[in-house]
Amino acid sequence: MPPASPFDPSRRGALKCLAFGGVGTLFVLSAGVLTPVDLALAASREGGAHGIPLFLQISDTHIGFDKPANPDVAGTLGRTIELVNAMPARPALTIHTGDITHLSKADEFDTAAQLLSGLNITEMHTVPGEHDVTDGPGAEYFARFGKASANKGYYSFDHAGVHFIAMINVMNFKPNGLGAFGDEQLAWLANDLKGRSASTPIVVFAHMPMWTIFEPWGWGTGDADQAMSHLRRFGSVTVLNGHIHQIVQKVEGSITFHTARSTAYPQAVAGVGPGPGPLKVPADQLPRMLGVSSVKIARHPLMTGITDTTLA
Amino acid sequence: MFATTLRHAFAVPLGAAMLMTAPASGLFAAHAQAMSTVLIKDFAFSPAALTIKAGATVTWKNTDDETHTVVGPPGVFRSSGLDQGDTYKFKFDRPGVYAYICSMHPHMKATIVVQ
Repeated sequence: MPPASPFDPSRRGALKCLAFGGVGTLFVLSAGVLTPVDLALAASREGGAHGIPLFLQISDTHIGFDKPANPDVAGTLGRTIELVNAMPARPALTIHTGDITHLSKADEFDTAAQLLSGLNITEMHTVPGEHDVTDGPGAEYFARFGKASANKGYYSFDHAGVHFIAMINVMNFKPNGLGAFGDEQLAWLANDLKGRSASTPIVVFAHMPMWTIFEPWGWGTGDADQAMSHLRRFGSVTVLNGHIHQIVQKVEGSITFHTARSTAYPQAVAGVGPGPGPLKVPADQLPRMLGVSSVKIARHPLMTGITDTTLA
Repeated sequence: MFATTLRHAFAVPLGAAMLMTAPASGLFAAHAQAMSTVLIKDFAFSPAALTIKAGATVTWKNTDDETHTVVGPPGVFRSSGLDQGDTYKFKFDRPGVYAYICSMHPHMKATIVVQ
């Protein structure tokens, strides 16, 4: 592939599926067109914003899980952290999209915190998954992570000109089994976005998918449309979710939706089997189904690039 | 059906112990409690509708390899996260219809009818 700027908008073309060893393929989104870029080329580029992935998305670590699908989730999380620490360019911060623990227990949160402190990325922002709040009000989760949101679960912050929005959709489920944000959070979102320039890159992260992937298994958020209506005017919106332990992506205008792999265990593809439980696969296949994602946000032109990396 | 069978079968082997079934008086022999079990299996509560007498205890048992919870009306009953093999018990003293869900997979719905 001829070397060229990965952010050159004149590089249009049909989407080619390229595999670069086991590390992964970087797809750069430019004006609605996904273009694959050699990851090594992108990482070797000199100078700040272009070469350095902005942040890491890690999800569904499920510390405390010990069933056949993966008897050693602490071990696979440890290997994931080693993989991240060995990446050629260090992300500036980590987003954990929830299900940090498996049963919301204090010792599980302790172990997770201990393991995650091994990341050479020092800044981490979290949202809870439903496994983190099985005690109802989520006392243990909020005791540890509630400060950023005054225990509401939703908050926003800025980093390098990108506006990050953390949302919670695992406390008020809809009768159809989908997640929900609730009116108070939606009103907060509308207010948080008010007056922001449409050229501000936005990253929204929440545990449950923010679009309906498969309703019978609860893979969606019932009032997500209302949230998206506030986000549509922005030139670059990246929606990052977890929960389903596999990658599903969608691009809708200026909005990129992406669910991440788990570091603990995979789940079945939508509809295959009785429900979204842990999927047991042969031992040599497991590391190929676990991993992390790194996300690059470019401003000129406004673009998102997501790299999904597996353990093997 | 399951609950009815259990009630009748329970009365027989007790011998001298009297199973009081006079709800109006509120008198129940402490050791003559009827037990009913709901299985949590394949992302469903089984049976989905269970009828019991006031004073009976329901035991939920999770056989799935995914965590589930048993969450009834606010303030009435709520389990913690149930891993595979875990059980949760609740004694229903008051008659009524109690709808409940799994709070993690809310499409899982069931009812306990307490007579």
